Formats: sequence, C-alpha cells, structure tokens
Amino acid sequence: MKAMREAPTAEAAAHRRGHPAPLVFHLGAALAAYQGAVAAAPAAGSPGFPWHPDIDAPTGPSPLPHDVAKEALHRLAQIGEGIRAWQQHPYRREAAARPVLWQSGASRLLDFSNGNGGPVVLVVPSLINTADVLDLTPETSFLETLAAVGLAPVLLDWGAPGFAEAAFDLDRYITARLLPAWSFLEGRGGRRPALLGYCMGGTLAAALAAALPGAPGLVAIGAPWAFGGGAGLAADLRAGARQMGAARLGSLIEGTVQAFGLVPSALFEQLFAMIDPMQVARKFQRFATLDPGGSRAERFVAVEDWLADGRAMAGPAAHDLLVRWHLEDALALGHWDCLGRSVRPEAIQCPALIVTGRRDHIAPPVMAGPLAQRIPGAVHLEADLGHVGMIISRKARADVIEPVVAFLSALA
Amino acid sequence: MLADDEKAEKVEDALTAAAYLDLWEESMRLRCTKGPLVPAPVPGKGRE
Repeated sequence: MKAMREAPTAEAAAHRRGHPAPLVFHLGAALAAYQGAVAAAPAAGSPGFPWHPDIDAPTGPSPLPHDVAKEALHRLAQIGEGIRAWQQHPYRREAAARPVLWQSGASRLLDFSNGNGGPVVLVVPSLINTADVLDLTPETSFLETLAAVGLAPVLLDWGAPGFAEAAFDLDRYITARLLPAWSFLEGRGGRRPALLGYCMGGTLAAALAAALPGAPGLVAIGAPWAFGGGAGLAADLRAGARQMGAARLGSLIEGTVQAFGLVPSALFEQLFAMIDPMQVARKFQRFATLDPGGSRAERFVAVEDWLADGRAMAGPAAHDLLVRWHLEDALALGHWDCLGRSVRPEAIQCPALIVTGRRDHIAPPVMAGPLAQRIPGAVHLEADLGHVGMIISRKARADVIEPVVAFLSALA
Repeated sequence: MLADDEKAEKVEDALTAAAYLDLWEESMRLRCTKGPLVPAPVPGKGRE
C-alpha cells in the first residue's frame, strides 16, 4: 500500500464518497444537544443539576447562556469544518492486490502471508463493513503484522453479497462460505488453520469452532455473543424492539429487502449512530483541529473512508443478526443452530483467546465477555480500547495485536 | 475542547462556557453509553 501525502485542496477529493452517515442525524443530534445545553446553562452550578452520576459536578457561578450559545455555535461550525476537511483530504488507500487462493460467489480467500510458509490463520471479518479495516494502512495493518512475525494470514473477504448470497442467512454463510474456505486451506496445507475473527466475524468463527471441532486455535476480537444485558441507549433500543416483537421487526426487515433487494448499510449506520449520538460530532470537531498533513489525520481519514463504505447485507443474514441474535438472544440461550446443531461455546475444544474492549460500545464486554466465560480454558484479554481501536489505534499493537500474535505463535 | 487537566482547573475557578459544554457532552455520552438515560428524580421535586 502507498499513502498519498498531498496538501488538501478546496474541492472534495474526487475519490471520496459518502459522508458520515446518517449526516442529518449527526448534525441534528449535535444541534439538539447544544440547544439543551444553552437552555440549562443558568442552572449549571446548582445542586441537583442532572449531570451524569460519574461527572464531578461543578460548583460556582453558572455560565451565561449567551456565552454558551456562542461556544455551541463555534462547535457546530467546527463539525462542518471537520467534515469538509475529511472530504477534501487527498489521502487515498492503495492496497496491493493479493493472491486469490479460492473463490465462491462473492467471497474470496486473499493470501496475506507474503509467501512466508508459516502456520495459516484464517481471518474472518464482519459482514457489516468491508474487510479493509484489517489492512487499512501500512502502519496499522493487522494482517501485515501477523505476516511479519511468520504467521500466514489468509483473509476471508466476504465481498458484497450478490445473487448467490442474497438468500443467505448466517448459518448459510458458515456452511457455504466459511466452512468450505476453511476446508480448502486444510486441503492445501495439510492441517486445519487457526481461526481469527473480528466483530461478528469472531462470532461466526466461534460458532464454526463449536459446531465442528478441529481448529488448532480460536481468536475472537470484539465478538458479541450475549445480547440480554448492556446499558444505555443500545440496551434500551433492544428492549424497545423486544416490546415491538420479533415478528414485527422481522416483517420490517422483509419489507426493506423487498424494496432494496438487500438490507442497506444505512440501516446499520443508523443503529450505530444511536449508540452514542454525539460521537460523530465530537470526532469531527477534533479532526478539524488536527494537522491535515499529519499521520493522525491520515489515519482518521482512512477510518472514515472505511466507515463510509458500508456493505449491504442479505436479508436472512440481517434477520439472524437483528432478530435471532439481538432480540431473541439465541446465541447465549443455545437456540441458534449452525451445521445442524445448537451452537454452544462449551463445545469448543481448542485454545481460545477472547479479546474484549472496555470502551467498545458495539460489542461491549457484557456482550463479548460471555464467550470467554463459556469456552473451557479460554483466555480473556480485556483491552482499554474501543471496537475499531482494538484493530487500528496506536495502542492496538501493544494491547491487542502483540498478545494475539503471541497466542497464535504458541499454537504453531 | 479542553484537555482533562485544563477542564478541572477551569471548573475550580469558574464554569466557563467551554468547560460547561465539555461536561455537558461528557454527561450525555455517559448517559447514552452507560446509563441511566434519565436522571434520578430529586426528592421533593417533580414526579417521583
């Protein structure tokens, strides 16, 4: 890969597409939050002001609403500056073409081993975003790091679902894509490869390891398994959806599929946005203050480009994810079948490393940790990182990637 | 936006608009990601 380092221009970069979706939601959330802040400002120093209990409540004179409004307008403008700076940024990811070892439908196995002949690790990404996050920039490439220490990572790139996958549920993704890919690598190398999955790719990898023993090892990073707990807006959304009922949510998904053919990535972007409605506003405000030519700005742009490139999902797969997993908690309850049998982590016989992020709000420890608790002898690594940060942040190398490399190397 | 140590210093002196909005944003983030979403009722005030 080669990163372009050019000065930002006044025009949007021609290759950039999308926006921080859903943009109107992000801007509306910021506007509503600041309007509330202005209205409440006169009481800010009062006892009983409804700060979150973890906030060290300030005392003393409250700020003047006029000053708060002025600062809020500055911050709103800064969000726009940050978005504009991203859209104008010249960075463009240029990934080297990787050897395609196998293909089925839209899915391909891409060889990231650089021909090192090491122990093969089958890397399984999420179905929601592209697999690029695992090889986003030369400095942050998870796959390159594995290859550099002598492991032979092979990425299962699901690809955008096409006609062949449009009717796939998640079990079908395992039986018709993940398992054949795993078997192909076994036939090629003489032994089954270890499984490493990220996000729901980790959940699918764990399901395969549970349903069909034989992997030498399993690593799952930010992989949700139990959906009954949680806190904050995400848990409230799940509770609200449960009240609505699985049948009704299922029919909404079905209607979406009838209209679009697949479940558009916009649905998942909206759900992610509702977990922390001000998150995008805050990060684009910070980005507006960065040196656009610096490495931090470049990494930010790389991540935002990846986020803006969401994948649509096959309807039955989305139904499994949103209804069977999220609403019905079928994984944790042992009610979800894979390869014709109920998936139970207790059946996983290989060494397992389960990585969760304390700041992960997509698959928080309360959702991802139970996998570690239920796999016999599993090692649980809790990193002080967020969902994406576990893969591409500056701390990821020391806190996640190096322990993963040590775990996988010990299997060899 | 202010760094954490700057935030603390500002809060001790007087609550500036910037420090107030930093706290407001952080309070909102905590409510959304950690809960509780709705503040606990103050005894003797409003609905209980």
